[in-house]
Order: sequence, then C-alpha cells, then structure tokens
Amino acid sequence: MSETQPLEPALVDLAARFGDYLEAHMPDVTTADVEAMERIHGGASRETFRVKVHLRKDPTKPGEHRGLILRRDPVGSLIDTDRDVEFNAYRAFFDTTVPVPEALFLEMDTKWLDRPFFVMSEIPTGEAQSPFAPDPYGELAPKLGEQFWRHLGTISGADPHANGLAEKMEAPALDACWQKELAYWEGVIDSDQLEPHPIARAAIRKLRRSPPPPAQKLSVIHGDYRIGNFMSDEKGDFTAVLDWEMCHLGDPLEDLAWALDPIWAATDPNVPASLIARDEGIALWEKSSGLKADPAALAWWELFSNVKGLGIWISSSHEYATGDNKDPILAFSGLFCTAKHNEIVAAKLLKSFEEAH
Amino acid sequence: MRPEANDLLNGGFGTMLMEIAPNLNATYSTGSASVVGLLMYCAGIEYERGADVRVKENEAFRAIFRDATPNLTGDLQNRIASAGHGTDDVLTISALNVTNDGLRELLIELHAHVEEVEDSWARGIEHAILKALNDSGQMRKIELPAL
Repeated sequence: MSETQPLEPALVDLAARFGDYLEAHMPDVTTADVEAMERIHGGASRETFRVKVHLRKDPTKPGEHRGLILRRDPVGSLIDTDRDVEFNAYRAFFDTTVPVPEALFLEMDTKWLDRPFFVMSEIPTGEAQSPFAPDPYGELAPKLGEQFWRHLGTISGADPHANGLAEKMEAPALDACWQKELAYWEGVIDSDQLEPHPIARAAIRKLRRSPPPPAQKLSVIHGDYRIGNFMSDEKGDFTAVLDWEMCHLGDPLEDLAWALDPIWAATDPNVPASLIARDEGIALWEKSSGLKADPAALAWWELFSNVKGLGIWISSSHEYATGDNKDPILAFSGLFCTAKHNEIVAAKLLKSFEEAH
Repeated sequence: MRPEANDLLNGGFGTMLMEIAPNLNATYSTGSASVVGLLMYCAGIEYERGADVRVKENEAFRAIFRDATPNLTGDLQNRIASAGHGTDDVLTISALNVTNDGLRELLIELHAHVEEVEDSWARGIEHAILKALNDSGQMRKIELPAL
C-alpha cells in the first residue's frame, strides 16, 4: 500500500473517525493522521483494514509512522464470536514464543466507528497463503512445518490460568469439553441450515454414541489453527499466528484435529496444511506440548472437526443467503467447503461401518 | 442455447481471474473478484449437473425407503412407504430441491431409527444409507481448477 495513494472514497470518513479515536486514546499523541487505509481479507468474520498512521506528539515536528490493523465487527459474519475473545487471546500470547501481533485497543462503544472494533499492531513482514493452493510453500515446507506444529504444541501446552485466559473464558470440566463443543456446533447447524444435512446428522449421532475420553488437560484452543491463518516470510520463518476469534478453553486434541483436517491439505490429505507429513506433525506437536495424541481420541476429534467445519460452512451459506453480508467468500465457503466436508465425512462413516460389520 | 450457461460461466471465471482481478488496485477487491470468479466456475458445474445429481439422489433415497418399508411400523412406515413411490415430474432445480429436502428429512429420520434397531435388516438399511450418502458426497464434490 503506497502512503501517497489517495484513500478510497468509501474509506475517507472511516479513516478520519479512526484518527479521531487514536487521538482520544493515545495520551502522548496530539495528532493522528491516517495516511493510508485499505480493506484486506483477514477472515470473513470481521472487516479488516490495514492502516498507516502518522502519530505526532508535537504537531510542528515529525512524528512516528506506524502500521496498524483495524478489525471491526461486520453487519453479518462467518463466525459469530465476541471480539474480546480474539483481543484477549492476542494479549495472552504476546511476548511468548508464539508470534502474535500486539493487541492495542478494544472498543465496544459504537459512537466511534458505528460497530465494535479492536486495533492491533501490523506485522510488517510475511503473508498468509491460501489453503487451496497446490504447493504454497515449495522448499520452505519442511522448515515451516516444524514451526507450524511446534507453535500449536506450545499453545496446547500453555497454562490458561497462567496466561490469564482461564479468568476470561468458560472453563469446562475435562470430561465435558467434547459435549460443550459438539452441542455448540450442532446448535449452529440447527439454527442456520438452509436444507437438511443427513451426513452431518449421522456424524453427530456417531460422535454422541462413542464419546472420547476426558481431556488430558484444559488447554487454550486457538479454534482455527490452519494454513491461511498464519503469516510467514520468504525465509520460511513464522511471523504471526492470526485469527484467534474462535479461541476458547477445551481439549487440546480439538486444535490438533482441526489442523489435521484434510480440507486444509490441497493435494495430499496426509500432508496437512501442505507442509509436512501428518505423523511427523503429530510427533512434533506431542514433543512441544508434552501431551499425547491418543489415536482413538484423536479420531473422535477429527470427525468432530469435520462437523465443526460443516457448521461453519452451513452458517456462512445462511449468512450469505439471508443476511446483509454478501462477501463472496461466504458463498464460496458454503458451496465448496460444505461439499468437501460432506465428501470427507460420508466416506469416513461408510468406511467405519464396513470395518465394524 | 449455444454457448450454454456453463460455457459462459467458465469464460467469465477465466476473465475474472486472469484479466480483471490482477488489474484492480485494492487488495480486497482483487481477492473478492478472484472468489467471484471461482463462484462462477462452481455455478457452471452446478448448471451442468444440478438436475442430474438431484434426480439420482432422490431415486437412491426412494429405493432405500422401498426396501425399508416392510420392516417398519406405524406412522414412520406410512410416510416412508409414501415417499418411496414418489417421482420427479418437474425437473427444475427449485422443484427438485423441494423434493430432495423432503426426502433428506425422511432419510435422517429413517437412519436414526435403524441405528437403534438390533437386527440384520436394519444393518442392511444402514449400510445402504451410508452408501447413498457417500455417493451423494462424490456426486456433489467440486474439483477446483489448478490455478
């Protein structure tokens, strides 16, 4: 984004109001000039803007040029989450070995930008890749794969009491983590389905018939840890783990299973996130987290992940069809991703039945 | 109609991805234009196969209902038997969707019912349902073009 590029007309008012907000909330700043602002894709659940601001303490002297990310609640969204969940998660992991941007402001008062929003620092280097690109990382895949699973292990192994998230999030009993999550996503499908979903319903019944063992610990669950939600640079270094909007506390296998989901493997389901082999990734996660990925328990959570995915895609279809948000990514998720997860789940259910009978 | 709608949509997909999206200045608009292109591609696939998929699914579900009917009782038997003898007389997507939705609702109910029955006929119906759902998943999957 060029700093000399004029603001899009649609963003002039938003930029001015955002500058006013910064001036009111940064004690040492007397003027905050928004030099550039552009909307970027940063998850379909929030409007995301990349902003360049010129902050000055003394209006007569040059000040500091700073990059910020503004995340504003949309009229409709892919995922219904509270914005403070993501804000608190960024705060909890800032200055740890897991790279995240610094969370700066959380604003609930709609007088500033019409809807609640939060502000975080811009990560200056790196970019995220599409889950559907055939070979997004090339020769950097092994190096990034090691970091991908190590960082997830670090998140899974973190103590939510020590990082403060246990005070801000519901802490289910270890033997109730699965019930809480399954009930939530079943409820999403109940409320948002535009058509009957016999594959999802069969999977939900199967999950209820044979629940997993209690969680080995109560972990921080990123909620959407996958390719597309981290940034890396051209040297193959992670620069940020993003999109914590579905963060919650639960069974650590939930995050592991979501990251392993074949929908995030563009070409080979045994190479999740198009990085390194599945077994290698699980071993790295175990080493980093200090936890175990029991195969039977992980299989339960992997089927759950498929159902969770269907819940998200069904919800996005609903939002596109009935809501005010016509972001085409909602329609694409509802169309392509629903079909993909239905294919995965139906094959899994049939295989499981035929092996058992 | 020549070119057919799927040809038009495929052409639009190529134009959107290769010509329009790369020449937009705003990052967000570039991304949105690319996704709109992909949606046109998906719509082209659905235009071509949409009716065929629904008719095949409906008939597969009806066949399962006809097989299950003799072992059912009461209201469920009546509804399954009735649905098993339906036909698709109107082949518009909207009409087929109404029928497909109704059959899917009944399939969910039948599936949940047979899962609770300890008998070989129930296992047979359960297997048939799972095969039909797997066929549905295969018929409805979308292969993205290599980009």
